[in-house]
Formats: sequence, structure tokens, C-alpha cells
Amino acid sequence: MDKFSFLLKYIRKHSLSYSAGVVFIIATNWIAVSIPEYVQRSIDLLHVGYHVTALSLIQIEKEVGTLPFLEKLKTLENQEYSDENEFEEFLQKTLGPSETEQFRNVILKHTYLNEKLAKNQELLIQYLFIMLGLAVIMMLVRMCSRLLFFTPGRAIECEIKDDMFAKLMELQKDFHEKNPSGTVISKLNNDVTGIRMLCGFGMLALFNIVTALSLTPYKMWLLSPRLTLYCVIPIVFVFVVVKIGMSIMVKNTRARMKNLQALSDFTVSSLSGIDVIKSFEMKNWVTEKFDQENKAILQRSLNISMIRSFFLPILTNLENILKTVILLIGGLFVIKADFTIGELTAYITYAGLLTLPLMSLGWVTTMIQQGLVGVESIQTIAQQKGPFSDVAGLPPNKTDHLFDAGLEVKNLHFRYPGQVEATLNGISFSILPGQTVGILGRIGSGKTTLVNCLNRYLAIDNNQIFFGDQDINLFSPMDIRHAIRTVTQDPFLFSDTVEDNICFGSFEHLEDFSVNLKTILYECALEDEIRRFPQQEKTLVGEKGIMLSGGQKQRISLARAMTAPCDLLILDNVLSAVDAETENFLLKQILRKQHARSLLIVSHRAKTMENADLILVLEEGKIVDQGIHQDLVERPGYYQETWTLQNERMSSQNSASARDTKGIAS
Amino acid sequence: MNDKATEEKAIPIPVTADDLGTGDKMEMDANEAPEKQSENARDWALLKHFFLYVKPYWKWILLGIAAIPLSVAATLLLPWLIIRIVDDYLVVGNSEGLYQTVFFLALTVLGGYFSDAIYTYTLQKSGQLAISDMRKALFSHILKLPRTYFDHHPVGLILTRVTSDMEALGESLAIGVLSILTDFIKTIALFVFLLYLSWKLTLVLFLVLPIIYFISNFLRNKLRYYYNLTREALADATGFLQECLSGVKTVQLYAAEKKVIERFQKKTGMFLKAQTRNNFYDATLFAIIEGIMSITLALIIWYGAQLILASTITIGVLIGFVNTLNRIFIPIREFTQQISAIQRALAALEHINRLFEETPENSKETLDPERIPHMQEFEELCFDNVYFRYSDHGPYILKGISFKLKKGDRLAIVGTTGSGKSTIVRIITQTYTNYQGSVTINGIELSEIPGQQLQQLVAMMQQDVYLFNESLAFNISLNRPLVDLNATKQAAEYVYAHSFIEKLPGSYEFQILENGKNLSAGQAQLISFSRALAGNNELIILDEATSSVDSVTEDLIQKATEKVFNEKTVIAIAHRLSTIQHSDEILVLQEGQIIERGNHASLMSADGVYANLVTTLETTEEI
Repeated sequence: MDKFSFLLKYIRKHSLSYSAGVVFIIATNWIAVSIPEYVQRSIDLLHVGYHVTALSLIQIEKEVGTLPFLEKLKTLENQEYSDENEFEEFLQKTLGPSETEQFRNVILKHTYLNEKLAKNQELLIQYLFIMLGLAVIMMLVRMCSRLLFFTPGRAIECEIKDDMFAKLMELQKDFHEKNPSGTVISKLNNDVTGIRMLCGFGMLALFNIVTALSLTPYKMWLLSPRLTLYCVIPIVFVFVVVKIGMSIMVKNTRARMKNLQALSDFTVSSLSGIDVIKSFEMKNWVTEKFDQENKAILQRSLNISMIRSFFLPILTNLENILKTVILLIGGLFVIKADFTIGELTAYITYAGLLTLPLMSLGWVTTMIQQGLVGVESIQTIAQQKGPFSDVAGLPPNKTDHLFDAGLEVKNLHFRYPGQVEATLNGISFSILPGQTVGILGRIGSGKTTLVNCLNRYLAIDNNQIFFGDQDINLFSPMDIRHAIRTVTQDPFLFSDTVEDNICFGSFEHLEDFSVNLKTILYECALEDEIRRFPQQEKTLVGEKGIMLSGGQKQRISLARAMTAPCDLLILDNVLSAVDAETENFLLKQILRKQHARSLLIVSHRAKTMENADLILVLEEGKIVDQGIHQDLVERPGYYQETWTLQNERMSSQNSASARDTKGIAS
Repeated sequence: MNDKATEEKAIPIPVTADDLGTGDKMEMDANEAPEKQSENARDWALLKHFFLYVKPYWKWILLGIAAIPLSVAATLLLPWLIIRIVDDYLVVGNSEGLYQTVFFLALTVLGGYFSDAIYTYTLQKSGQLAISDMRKALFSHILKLPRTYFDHHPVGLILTRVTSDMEALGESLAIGVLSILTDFIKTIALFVFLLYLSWKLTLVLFLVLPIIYFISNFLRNKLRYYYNLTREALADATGFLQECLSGVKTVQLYAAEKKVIERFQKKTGMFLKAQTRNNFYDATLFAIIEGIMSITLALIIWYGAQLILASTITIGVLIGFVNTLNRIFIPIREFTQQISAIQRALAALEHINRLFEETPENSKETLDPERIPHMQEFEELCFDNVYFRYSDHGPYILKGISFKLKKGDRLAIVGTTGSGKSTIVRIITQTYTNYQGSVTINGIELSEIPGQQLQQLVAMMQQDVYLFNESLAFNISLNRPLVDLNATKQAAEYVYAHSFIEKLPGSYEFQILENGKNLSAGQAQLISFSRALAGNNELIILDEATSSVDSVTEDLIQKATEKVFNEKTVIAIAHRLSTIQHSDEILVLQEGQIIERGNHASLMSADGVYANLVTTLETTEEI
């Protein structure tokens, strides 16, 4: 899938909003170019129709004052007339034919001008109301066009983020190891922001530029083609200069971002190494090193300032440059009476309308580029194929029976990518429903690797692990993990409340759930401690559970596993940080198998698996011994050694156990 | 789990929802408009601090200020010339003087452009220079802060001060603070000019401007509210994303994908909702102001028509008025934006200042000259009833620790995580300084010894290996003047690291990436070991790693440890049985107190906590 079809997939969902937006943009621009037309008419009315008419009227009134027969007319005023004919008769009698004609002309002219003035006044008011109406409509239309573009942009941002998050949660270990979370977060924030800008502001600006840059020059052309051609020269010149400036600025901004990134990386890295810096007195070296990046940022900032101050304002001055050109060339036209002053004013207004889309043309291309870079970067996540993307989940009724025939491991080999030696070498055993299996071994014997193969956290080859007679690779990880739950030795807690961290394991919502939380807390020996927490089970555990001790974390993650029943519960060295007494209590609770049909207990303490149905002793990736406790303890070997050593210790230990006493409650 | 992390937990951090979110809240509060007198005074103090950094560049600023009158003159001349052109040449039909006046117009445009450019460039330049100096000063100040500061403040927060806040300062300086001054002067000048042209027409503007100001102010307040909401929502979603990425294994193993996806969607949904609101007000603001501008245009033409009819004004004046309208509106429209830019700058400055106000540790720079001879060679280290806590109110981490170590002695400290082992060595290396009681080296109180001097006697091998993204040789020598390449190689050979280094591309010039991502854990530990020994110090502190390494490297580390034990004075935070057994004295620590002490044999026979620990060690090879 290429960049555009990726974008199109999201844009298409909002095509209605976008098309409405385009209509509104065209409407906005149409109104924007219509208003100057009425400005022009008003000014021409004022200048010719209004100003000039008014002047002529005054002229006429003066003329009337100088008429030679004025004295004679005065006598007319004192006469009484019954009708028009009588007046006509009298007029003819007083003035004579030629003077009557002259008088008639003046009167007609006067009436005409008076009527014209009144008509113009009416017209002017009409224009003003049209302008007002257009302004109000434009206000609404513009608002809608912005909303119609921005909202889908935001919605797309949200959709992409959600989709990527879902993808990230599906992707397995190898992806997350290769992509540090900082990079992924930056992708989801910054790159998606780029895409949003493209889909929102970028699209708006693009359509706006297209309509504005076709409508406005068209109107200008209608007013005066020659003047328009003259205007093209400075526009092209300014545009080229600014485009060059822009590209230099973009280059500098990118370089500056890189420098800033280097500076923050360096800051983070040196602050995490503050112990080394302090104990080896490296302050000066580190400060100098920091200042190198700092100076690089400064240089870039100065370059950017230079362009911001000297290059980009050329564009804001384009309006003034155009005004100068229009006033010179257009002014000459006006003087030659080819052009009215109103047209000149409208023309200047159009030139002003041109600058904004031209300005945005400068950065909209950059914005689109950045958006596409963002798409490319997001695609590195979107196009990742999870190892199971082709495995469909099972229907709900089937998942319950996945473990009915138990789990069988047949000659399992595993080697970590990039390593020469295999970590697991030919492991075979099986766990039947209802059984408890223990795995004992030293650190590095392959216990955790084995566990991670069983729960499919690690990718394994086909035909090694089976549910009954079906290869585990045939099932989706979700289904496998519904059946097999693992409590790891490095529990991860969310910076949330104790309660939420525990309920995280359940498949239901919190509200339906709280009934048996108390039981679980009791079974995990957490009840007393949590009661002593400042806000009991609502206490926040801090980032990664920093407020809790190791033992508390382990027990919370154990409680988490108990919130939903499963077929096989794997406890990978879970009780290493709790004292023996609590361990015994917990074991008793776990072995009741209230929450799981079968158990797999991994530990380096023999005591924890005393009652198991099968104990495997692991050494260097191989099973070196297996059996039940009674048999193993009789034979010399690692199990016997461990049992004896640890049992002696248990008996000699009375009070001073390495009990975990830390954490909130202490 | 290493000691550092567990000891941090012992710090009593308040555990309420409010406290955990303070970082962002504080920033929000700082954005609120300062109204009270005292706040004005505080703002002034903040600016004064910043001016200290600007001061060296006063020449640039002077140049910038000198450009202001020119720029104002150009702003006024422009509409005046347009009026002259219309009234004197176009209306009358006189082309004679037109060329000349248009030429003046062109000159004015050019002059305005240059004076504006000079003004913005010089002021931005001085601002950037000041910020750069300030950033360096801040970083060097941070490095001088006591170690406990870093225990309380996450690196991310400090990073924000050095980067985001500095950036915010620069950005808001560039867009808001600079232009508000000239905009203000220009607007006033334009108003005076318009009043001069026609006070009656200007009256129309006076009617409209307050409306625009109040509407934009009202809407901007709304905008700011929703902007803060969006920021909170974004921070919330990002925080959750970060957590889910770190805990992706847990999410997958508990098959909780659906659950976290739903929660993430809720959070992005919140963000979307706040953004959409924000957009609505943004669009409204833009549209209303545009609309009002058009209405004013109509009003002015209508009223101007009456005035022209009454011969009060000429047609050129009306055209000039219409043309100047934009220039009046823009600054008023941007005014609130500029004010908030200034507030952002102040908020950023305040954050930065708060960090500047943190008191650095008062380590001695030089040693009493008469004492220097005593510090040439390590003779004795003595802890006498030492207490330590991270803050003035926190619980004690060390409670009355006393022991003595003579040259050639080997001391092992054992205990569970959080018992205070690492704190003891961090006091010796002066990582933590404000201890109570007395710690002396060769009879001189530790707090009197400057770091440089101490470094010649003591070297420490850290258990969390920290590597710089530099060459391998640098990571061993750490720029110490006495450690040349030869000494570096010797140290590497001493701890059996030489052979693997030789095999790396570029050997000692091998570039280390991302804190040693391109080395194995064992190799990193060997480098850290070489580093501790390269200074040829007498007292070596070993903080043994608990993390497992491959068996070959493990052997090398054990061999090297034995060698060091035979030849140097050593304090070891020990996890390996062999290390402990080789020690002359063993201190067993629990909750900051020494509960048992003696050599291996005597402690074993005492059958106490130590004996118990050793049994565990024997079966699992780790504590």
C-alpha cells in the first residue's frame, strides 16, 4: 500500500465533510471577490455619480442666479395661477420664446440632476446593504469551511493513533526490541501531527489557494488585463525569492531539530550517568560537550532568524509592492480616463486578497511534504506483520476446550536470534489438566526461555508444542493466552491504583468485578498491607509501581492472574521476593487451583514444588532429571543438593528472615 | 532489581492523584493571567534575571531600537503618499508629478522593509544569544546539584527545562514579545494620523475596535481553556502509550490487548473532543473578526460618502482610510495572542528560574595547601556514627554506621536490597554529600576534600554500567589527565578486557552507541571495571552486578576481582560468595544498621543472618 492509498483510506471516510468544505471554500472566495466589486461601484458612484452630480447641481444653481431674465421671473412669483396653462401663457408673455426655451432647459437639467442624486443615494445605500449582507454570509461560510476541514483532520489523527496503538499491542517482542518506545511515541505524536496538518489545515489551504488564485486574478483580468500582466512580474519575482528563502529555512529548521534532539539525547544520557560524572569529576567535559550542541542550535536559530527577518517579510511587503505598481500604471490609466478611481481601489483590494494565498502556497508544499514523510514513518508501524496476522481467532465456544487434552512439549529446541548456542535443547514433557508441574534449575538454565516458548511470547518452529494433537502455532496468541496465563518474575505495573492494576487481568469491566476482589487480596496475602496503604486499594502505585516493594509487586501481579480463570497458570519464579512464611501461605492458596486447572511452577527453591505431580530439573537447556519429589530426593543430583541445603536453612532459620518489609506500609 | 531503584522507593513521595500530576498543573497555573501586584513584581524579577543574560549584547539591541522610528515613519508615510497620489494626481488628472511621488512611495516601502528587518533580526539575535548562554549556565548548574535532587526529580522533567522551556522562551520571544512593542507604537501613530485626516471617520473605528477587542479576548480565553484541556488529554494519552509500550509483554501475556486499546481510544477520544471544541472557537474567532472588518468597511464608506458630499473630506482620504483599516485591525487582533505569548515566556522563565534557585552542593574547590601532602596516598578511611537521609524530613537510610578501613584492607558489605549498601559507597564517592556524623580519609573530613583530590585516591566500579557515546578508550579514561592511552590499555589488560577489545572494529577507537547497546552486558561490565582501575587509585570500590552475564565473561570478572583483592584496598558490595570469602571484614547491613560484622568463619559460626544469606547464595548463586 503506498502513501496515498494509506491516506485515502482515512480521507474517504470523511469525504462528505471534505466535499461540503470545498463548496464552502468556493463560496467564501466568491464572496471575497464580490465585495470589492461593490466597493468599486460605491466609490465610482461617489466620485462620478455622486460627487460630480452634486457639483453640477451647485453649478446649475449658480447659473440660475446669473440668468438675465431673473428680475422678470420675480414677477411670476407674485401671480396666482389656476392651472398650468395659465402659467404657460403668462411665462410666454413675460419672457418671450427664446428666453422661455433657455429657462426650460435649466429647469430640466436641474430636475434631472436632482433625480440622479436621489437615485445614486438610494443605490449607494443598496450597495452598502449588499456589502453588509455579503460580509455576514462570508463570516458564516468561512467558519463552516474551516470546521469542515479541521474536524476530519482531527478525526483522522485520532483514528490513525487508535489503529497504530492496536497494531503496537499486537506486535511481538522482536518489533518492540528493535524500536525503542521513545521513537514509537515520537512517531505517534509528531508524525501523526504532520498527517493531521496535511489532512486538516493542508487540505483547507490547498483548496483555498486553488480557488483564490483562480478567482482573484480572473477578476483582476476583467478589470484590466494589461495591469494584471504588470502585476505578474513582482509576484513571480517575490515568490521565487521567498520560495528559496523557505527552502533554506526548512533545511535549517530540520537541522535545528536534529541538533535539539542530539542535545536532549545528550542531556538525558549525561543525567542518567550523573553518578559517573560526579565521581569522576567530569563536569567540565560534559558542559563543554553540551555547549557544542548548544552552539550548533544557536547557529541554526540565527540562520532561521535571518531568513525570518529578511526573506519572509518580502512576501508581507508584496501587497505594498503591488500597490506601488498599481498606483503608477493604474494611475496613468486613470489620468487617461481608461480606468475609474473605483476600479483602481477595487484593484488594490484584489492585490491585497492575493497575498494571503500566495503566502500559504509557500508553506503548504512543505506541509504536504512533511505530512507525507509522516505517513511514510507511520507506515513502518502500519505495515508490520504480526507473526499471527494470518491466524484467525477461535470462536468463543472452542477456546474453552483448547486445553482439554493438555499441553505437550515434544523435543523443543530454541535458539535466540544472533546467538550461536541453543538455549533449549530437546525438551519433552506434558502437562495434563489438573496436574501441577515444577521446574527447578539454576539461573541461566533456560527456565524463563522455556516459559516464554509455552506462552508463545517467543516465536518457535512448528511441531514442537501441542494442545492435544494440534500445533500451538495454529492458534492466535490471544487464544493461547486466554488458556495459558503467565506471572513473570519482572512484573509490570501501570501507574494506576492497586485495584485497577489487579483488575487489569480480568476480561470484564471493573464495575462487574469488585465482588471477589477481597477474596483475591486475601489469597495473595495482600489484604493486611493494602489496608495500611493511604487510600487502600485505591492507592496509586506510581510509575512502574515504584511505590511498592518487590514482594508487593509480585503479589499484585499474582493477584492479577487470579482475576480470570485459566487452564494453565505459569508462575515464573514469582515468589522470590517474599519471605518463607508468606510463600508457604501463597503456595497453599495457589495449589487449591481455584483459578487454574493446571499449574506450572518455576523456581530455584525446591520447597515450592514438593507436592508437584512432576518435577523437571533443568540444566543448560536440557532436562537432566525428572520425577516426583519422593524419587528425586532419594537420588544424588541437583535436586537432592538443593533440597538438603534449603531445608537445613529453613530449619535453622527462626526469626531473622530476609522478610520484605519495605514499601508503602513501612 | 538493583539497589538504586529500591533505595529510591524509600523516599516518602506523597501518593495522591493530585501530587502525581503536579508537573503539568504547575505549568497550567503559570499560564493564568497574573493580576495581583505581587505577581507583577515576580514577573519583573523573572525578566530581570533574563536581562542579565541579554546585557552583554546591548549593542545589538540598541541597533534594533534605532530602527523603530524609521519603521514608524514608513508606516505613516505609506497611506499619506497614497492619499496624495489619488487627490493631487489621479482626481485632477495630472501625470507630471505622479512619477516622482510613486518613486517616493517605492522608497518608503523599501525603507519600511529594511527597518523592520533590522529591528526583528537584531532583537531575535540578542535573544537567541542570551538563551544559548542561559542554557549552558543552566546545564552547568544542574550538574552541580546534589545527587539527591536527581533522586527526587525524573530526568524527563529536567530535560523539559533545558529543552522545551528554553524553546518556548525563544519562540514566544520571536513571535510575541518583539512585535508587541512596535505594534503598539505603530498603532498609536496610525491613530494619530487617522485623527489628523478626519476625526469623524476615526470615530467609526473607535466604535468598532473595543468590540473586536472584547470578542477576541473572550474567545481567546475560551481557546486557552480548551487548549489546556487538549494538552492534558494529550499528555494523558502519551503517558498511557508509554506505559503500554514498556509493559507490552504484560499486556500480551494477560491477553489484555482489547482492554488497553479501549482505554487508549477513550483517551484519544477525549483529546479529539477537546480539539474539536478548540477548533470551533478558533474558527468562530477568525470568522467574526473578518466579518466585523467588512462591516466596518461598509460603515466607513457610507459615512465617508456623507462627508465627501459635505466637502469635509476628499475622495483620496476615504481611499487612504480604507487602505489603512487592515493595519489597525491586525495589531488589535494579535494583541491578546501576544499577551499570551509573553505569559508563556514568563511561565517558561519561571520554570527555568526555579531550577536555577536550587542550591548546588557546596563541594570544596580547593584543599587547604598544608593538607595536600596528607592526600598523596590513601592510608585510612573511617566512618564514625554516620547518619544519612535524602531530605530533612525523610526517614534515615543510614543509622549510625561506624567502621574503619586501613590501606590493604578488604571490606565486604552484604545485605538485602534497600539496606543502605549503595548509600555508604555513594557517601564515600561524594555522590551524596550532606551526611551527619564523621567520615574521614587520612584524618581529613570528607566534606573538606575537593572532588579532584578524592578522585586521585578512590575509584568506583558501578554496577549499572554507564557508558558515554564516545570511543571505548574515552570510556575507560574518562578524560582524566593522568590516564593516557597506555594507562587505558594497561587497565584493560589488568581486568582481561584487552582481548575482546582487540577484536572489536577499531579496537580502542570503537564507538559506543546508546549506552553500550553495541556491547554485551559482560563486556560493558569489564569496561566499567577497567575504568575503575585506570586511574591507578589505591581504594577501589566494587559494586558487584547482580545481573547474569555469559559464563566466559563471568570467569574473567571473577579472576579480575581476585587480582584486585590481592593488590588493592577494596570495599565491595558483594553478591558473589567468592568475593565475600576473600574479605578481611564483612559488614551485614539491615535497614541502615550494621547488624553483624566479622570475617566469614566467625559469622558462619554465629549462625545469624549472614549464615542464612550464604546458604541461599550457595544454592542460587545470588542474593
